[in-house]
Amino acid sequence: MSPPPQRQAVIVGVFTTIAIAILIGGILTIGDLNDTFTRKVQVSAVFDEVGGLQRGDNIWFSGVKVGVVTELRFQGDAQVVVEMKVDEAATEFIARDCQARVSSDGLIGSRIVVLYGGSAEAPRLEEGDELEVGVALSTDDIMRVFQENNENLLAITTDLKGISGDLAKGRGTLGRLLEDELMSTQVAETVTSLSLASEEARTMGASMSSFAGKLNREGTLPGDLVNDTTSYAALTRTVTSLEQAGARASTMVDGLATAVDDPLSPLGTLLRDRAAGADLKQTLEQVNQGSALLSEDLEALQHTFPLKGYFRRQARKAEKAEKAEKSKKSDETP
Amino acid sequence: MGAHDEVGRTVISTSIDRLALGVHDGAAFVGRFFKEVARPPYHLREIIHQCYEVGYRTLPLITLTGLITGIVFTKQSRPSLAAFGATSWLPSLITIALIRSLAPLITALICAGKVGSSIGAELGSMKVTEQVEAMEVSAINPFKYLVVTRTLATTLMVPALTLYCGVVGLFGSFLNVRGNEAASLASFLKSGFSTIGFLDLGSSVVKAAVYGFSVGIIACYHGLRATSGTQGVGRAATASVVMSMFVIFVEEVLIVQVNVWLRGYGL
Repeated sequence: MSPPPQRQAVIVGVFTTIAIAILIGGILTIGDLNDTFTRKVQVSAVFDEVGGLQRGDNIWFSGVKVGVVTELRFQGDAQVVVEMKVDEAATEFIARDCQARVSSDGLIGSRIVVLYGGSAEAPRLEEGDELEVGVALSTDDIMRVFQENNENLLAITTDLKGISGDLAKGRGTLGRLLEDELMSTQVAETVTSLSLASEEARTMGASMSSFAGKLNREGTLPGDLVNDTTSYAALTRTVTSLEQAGARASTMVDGLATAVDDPLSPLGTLLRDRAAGADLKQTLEQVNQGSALLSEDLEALQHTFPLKGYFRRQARKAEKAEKAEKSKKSDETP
Repeated sequence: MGAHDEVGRTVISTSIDRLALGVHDGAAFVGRFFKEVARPPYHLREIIHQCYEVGYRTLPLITLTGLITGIVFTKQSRPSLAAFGATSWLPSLITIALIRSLAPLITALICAGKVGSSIGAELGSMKVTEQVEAMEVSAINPFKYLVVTRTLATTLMVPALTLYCGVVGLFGSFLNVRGNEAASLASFLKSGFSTIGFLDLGSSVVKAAVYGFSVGIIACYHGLRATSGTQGVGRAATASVVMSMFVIFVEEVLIVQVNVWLRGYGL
């Protein structure tokens, strides 16, 4: 049962409108994504080889799509002229002396033209400019690097094969280690010794820790040195005083040395002048002789009047004091 | 008209004569359509009614088919791309496939099956019940009223259904991509539409219009040539579907060649 014609017309109208909306939406989306409705600048570059670049491939600048390839044609000696349309808004950031190279947007991706480089002082890209062509890393170059890596890998695996063969046959230090039972036993013993040594080191460490704990105890000299700030300050002052005294002693010794070295100084004269030494020796002998004579004279003077009585009284006092001392000692003895 | 000359003799062979006469009759039928379409009266109400029958009534079937196509095609393509670590190319692949080929083709084949058989059977039954002759007697041009309106409706509605099928198919594909890669709709559409151009979208719409015209005109042709009662009606419906599908595939090959040729000129 069909609805009335009026309703059918409305439904068909809505249906058609939606379809047209989808079509317009698709056109706008494609136009937006392909920058169809943006103003563009036509530039070109001449390549020796484009590596499968096609019309419609993208142009990237700093990783951003800024245009498309519009035409490819041969020129001169089998060179390829690539015509490109670059978004006018992007040319503000692209220098005229930038370079173009053919690249890929992935390992198996589409070919692209990459614009790179360019100096800040150079004028901006303009309509009709011809870009310099940079060196591109082609798939062949990549394969060549892969081939070199393969050869290196082969050499490494060959070496490893030889090493593993030697190991299996017991050649070399590692091979003997693997194959020689005696050596393996020695290694095991060494490891055991190392284990014991490490155990002893651990014990020693524990003892050192205990000892350090005791040293750090309060009341002991090291403890006070470590913890008591007053003692440490006093010790510091003492050391400072010692240093000063040492410095003064050093200065004095230096002065003495200077005096000794100076033949005109008294000490230098005494130490270095032989004639002065002889005179001094003679003087001392004369003094000794004089003092001996003076002693005889004084002895004689003790036995002469009026000093004779005085010395007798002194002798009696000393005798009395000696007797009193002896009697006191005898009383104290049981 | 049989496969014989005026005196009933075979010209080349029975089958070749029949094929040649069929091509001649078909070409004359198409030529008559283009003559009649520009002449009034236009039977606008009948055209809208046929648009309703062809477009709106086919919408649920197209929705379901488009959605399933999008999901299944994405699901089937994923392992192949995953082998190269290129599952990020799924939106591009699906969009190219749907817009360039799948959406018009699926829509046209469904319309050939549903609308073509319907038109063939309807016109066939009118023919065997002599309603067509009755219209002529009533001073109504049956070609104008029956053929032009239906063919115009299929020609207009199949492109609309194709666009709708494309959108639904992309949505189905997005559901699958979203389920696996957690991609947003915006990034999916951007990735998909960045790989197609105006030529793809335009050729898809034009292609759908050609398919729609073929379905309509072939169904009407076989319907109006129905004979021998109800059996003839059945044969007309079947012939409409088979011939429409065959012609659609032939046209697909030709249009793809034209597309490739146009693409070579940077379009």
